[in-house]
Amino acid sequence: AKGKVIKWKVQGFVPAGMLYHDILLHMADRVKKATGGRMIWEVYPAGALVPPFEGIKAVSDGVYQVNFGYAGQWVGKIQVAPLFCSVPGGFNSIDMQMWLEHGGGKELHQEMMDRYGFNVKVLHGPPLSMENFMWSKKPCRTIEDFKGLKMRMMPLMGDVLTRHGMSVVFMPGGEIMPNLQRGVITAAEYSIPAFDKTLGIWEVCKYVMLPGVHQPCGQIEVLVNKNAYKKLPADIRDQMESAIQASRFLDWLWMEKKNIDAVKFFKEKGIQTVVMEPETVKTLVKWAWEYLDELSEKDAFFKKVWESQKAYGKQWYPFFNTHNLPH
Amino acid sequence: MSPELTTILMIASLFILLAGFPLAFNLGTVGLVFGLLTTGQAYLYMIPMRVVNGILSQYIIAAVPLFIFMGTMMQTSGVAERAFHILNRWMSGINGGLALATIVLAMLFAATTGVVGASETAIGLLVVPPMLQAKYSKSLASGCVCAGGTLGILIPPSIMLILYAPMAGVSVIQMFSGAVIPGILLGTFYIIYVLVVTWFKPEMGPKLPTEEQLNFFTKESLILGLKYLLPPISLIVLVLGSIFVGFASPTEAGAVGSIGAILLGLIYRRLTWKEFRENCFVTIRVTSMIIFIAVAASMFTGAFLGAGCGDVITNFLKGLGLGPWGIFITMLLIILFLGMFIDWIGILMIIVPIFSPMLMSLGFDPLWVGLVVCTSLQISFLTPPFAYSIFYLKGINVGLELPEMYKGIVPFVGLQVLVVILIIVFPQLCLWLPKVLAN
Amino acid sequence: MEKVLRIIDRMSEWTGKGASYLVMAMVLCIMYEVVMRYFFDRPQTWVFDTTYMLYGAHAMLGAAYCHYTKGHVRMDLLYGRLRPRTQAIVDVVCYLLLFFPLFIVLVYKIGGHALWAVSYGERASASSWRPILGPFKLAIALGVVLFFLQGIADFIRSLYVAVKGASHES
Ligand code: NA
Ligand code: NA
Repeated sequence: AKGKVIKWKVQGFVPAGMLYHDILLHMADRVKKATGGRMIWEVYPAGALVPPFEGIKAVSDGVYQVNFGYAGQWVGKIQVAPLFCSVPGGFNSIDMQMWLEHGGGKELHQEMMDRYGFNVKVLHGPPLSMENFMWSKKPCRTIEDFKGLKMRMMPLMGDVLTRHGMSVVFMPGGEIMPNLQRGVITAAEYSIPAFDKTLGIWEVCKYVMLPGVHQPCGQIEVLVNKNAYKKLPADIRDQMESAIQASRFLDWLWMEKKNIDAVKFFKEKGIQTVVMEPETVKTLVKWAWEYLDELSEKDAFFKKVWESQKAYGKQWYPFFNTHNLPH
Repeated sequence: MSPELTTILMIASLFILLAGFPLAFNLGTVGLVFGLLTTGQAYLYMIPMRVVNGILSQYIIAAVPLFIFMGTMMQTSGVAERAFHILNRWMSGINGGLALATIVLAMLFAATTGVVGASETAIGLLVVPPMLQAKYSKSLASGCVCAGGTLGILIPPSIMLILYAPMAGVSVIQMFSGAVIPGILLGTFYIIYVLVVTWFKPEMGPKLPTEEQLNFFTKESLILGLKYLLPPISLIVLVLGSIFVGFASPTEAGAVGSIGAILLGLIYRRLTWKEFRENCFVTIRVTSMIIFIAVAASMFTGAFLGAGCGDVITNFLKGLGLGPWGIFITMLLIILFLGMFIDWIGILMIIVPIFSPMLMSLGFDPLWVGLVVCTSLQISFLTPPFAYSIFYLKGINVGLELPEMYKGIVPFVGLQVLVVILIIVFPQLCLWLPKVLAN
Repeated sequence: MEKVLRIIDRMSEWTGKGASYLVMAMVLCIMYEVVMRYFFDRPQTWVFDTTYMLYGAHAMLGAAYCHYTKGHVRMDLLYGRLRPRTQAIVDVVCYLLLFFPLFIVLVYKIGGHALWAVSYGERASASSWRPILGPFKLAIALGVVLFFLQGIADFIRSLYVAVKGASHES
């Protein structure tokens, strides 16, 4: 019926007031505008409806209609899922967009959901640019420097480091700061500069290591309940998807602007940026690839995705690397 | 059903509690009925996710059974008798000495247990008979035991702070360190109150016969003091110290403290296999009771928030034009009011998810809000008609009657309100220590 | 009938008492991790997940036992003053309205959730250990089922008192 407003519930993956929740609010706003107010996204912060790691199942079961998060959250249910968010030693944010749109990425992403029995339609939000590798109380340039640290690092890269004898500790985001302050951990990975700035991690750690080998890109994933998606009138569906695409592009840039500001802010606060030695970066990338190759041997679909990314990289990097100026 | 109507009906249906059926069943059923009415099937899918993957899978909440276990172990270790013995001999020379010893003992015990039950029962059994024998005012005796026992839920370790922190996204460690000064402040005010009231009315807490007295500044006193007080103090230092210094997470400290309490029981030869088993049984019963209320409250808030009632409350309060402070005070008054009738876990699990986002958006410091809320919530242990601390004291049957108890807690509730006002006016009282420990 | 009720009581009691030792298992796992971390500089990856799984199983496997010992908090200001038979009548009504609907749903949904986790091979997501979650979720479901049975047993007892005016003890 015309004039009837479609109300969808949407859950994000961080608490209200944080950067990635603002992105979701922007997206909801754009959806409302694009549909002329015929579709409203009622936005809930992380955990308000279900715990964040359950988002995929919640949307699939129809608890709410849209989950705004990242595929790495589903690692306990789908081992390959993190590759659709961030690949240690792999794609950066432009590479990821290229692969998703033109390298078969988005089709594989949808295939994964169907294959694992989740009743969801996959859409893509903005990417996050490369994260800071780690915040630490001492500068680390070589592998040896890392050996003495107790680090907080997320799965995949955390697995890689553990395999090579490093001390990796897991803890919820909220415990990072107090544990850094008290020395339970001496270094922590968190997120992009714009996000790390709001966490206040720079008050404790004076050194920030780059490049973010563990997460050269973070891809926001927008999961829509398939039944709800199919029931949408065609025009509203198109308007909603256009709004999400607009958000994907504009909020990406908006976050990059925030990143620039954050890096400037860190500089003013006397934070030292430490660029790891090229050999170290190469070794970390090599370790990550070895690990991903190994996982591929155990899981055919994992292999399909990882090989697709490697194959696309071979086509894309030669062009990307030559058609850029060395600034 | 409109969100407004749902909000009103859900709040109104809480009055089913008065029928006397277990609180958890009421909360869960109200959540279920309204969840189904407002979102249908979707609500049913939400349940296991919130319950199993939410409440029952949280590493931080795993500290709850550990601190309960530690408390029961302390209760049977015989540490309380020994500590009370020496405290009493030190203070028996002044009016209200027994009451003062009770409060100090309660503060010590509060720092070794996460709940009120274990410590209040142990203390009550220990101190009430000698107080009655010494012709203490029954209301003063009740007040000291109830208020002192209640400190167990505020002075860290505290399961209230543990349950609060993950819901509001603040650190348990910071909540623990922030609660130290409000807890000590309460204890100090109780002591001052006893001193003042027994100064003017010595018959409320007469001195003890001189032969029991022990001058604080003697060699004998020092040796006995070390012997009797060092074990519990070492355990406190071990548990709270390891949390504050960064040796262990709160969950780990619960395990470390449990081992410590078991060792104390073994050293004093109090801990038999039978006692150990019984303590395990008590621990699982109390844990299940608390966690099941949390589970049911999570079903309630899931339905409440899912139906958009959170926004209704927020818009309503913002619409009153009270300003941020007005909203904050209103929230505290609601907590105090609910505290009279509902169990604190229910209030905590319902109130925090609804109010916390709004208070954050109004710019209040989440840590400070948490500490003010938890300090206010411990008042609910004393406020009738539903007052846990009074029930515990009544439960151990040491010759005190309900009217004396209700009369006895009045001044202490006043002091609790005073401390809440103090930490609101001077936020540094709870923010200073977390800040110092962070550096 | 009485025999069946007794069996239910014993199941709740034994499960609860058996599960009560899980708290000690938690203590030992955590102590092991703390010792390994500080004295051997080898943090253990499995303790994080093990701890919350032991806690969740402990809490829910004790729920029926807690109910059996009347451990779940009641607002008993009015209730406590009623005569036993009136209490039983209130209980019967409350069981029908507030217990059965809730527990039928809990058994159905939490049981289904556990079976899904088992058949799907669901794993934990937060640590690198990533253990299978099925057994943990089955333990929780078992706790809910026992709780439901204990509730049925208590309901039948209350019904008996409500109808006959006295409990039938033997
Ligand atoms: Na305590
Ligand atoms: Na109360």
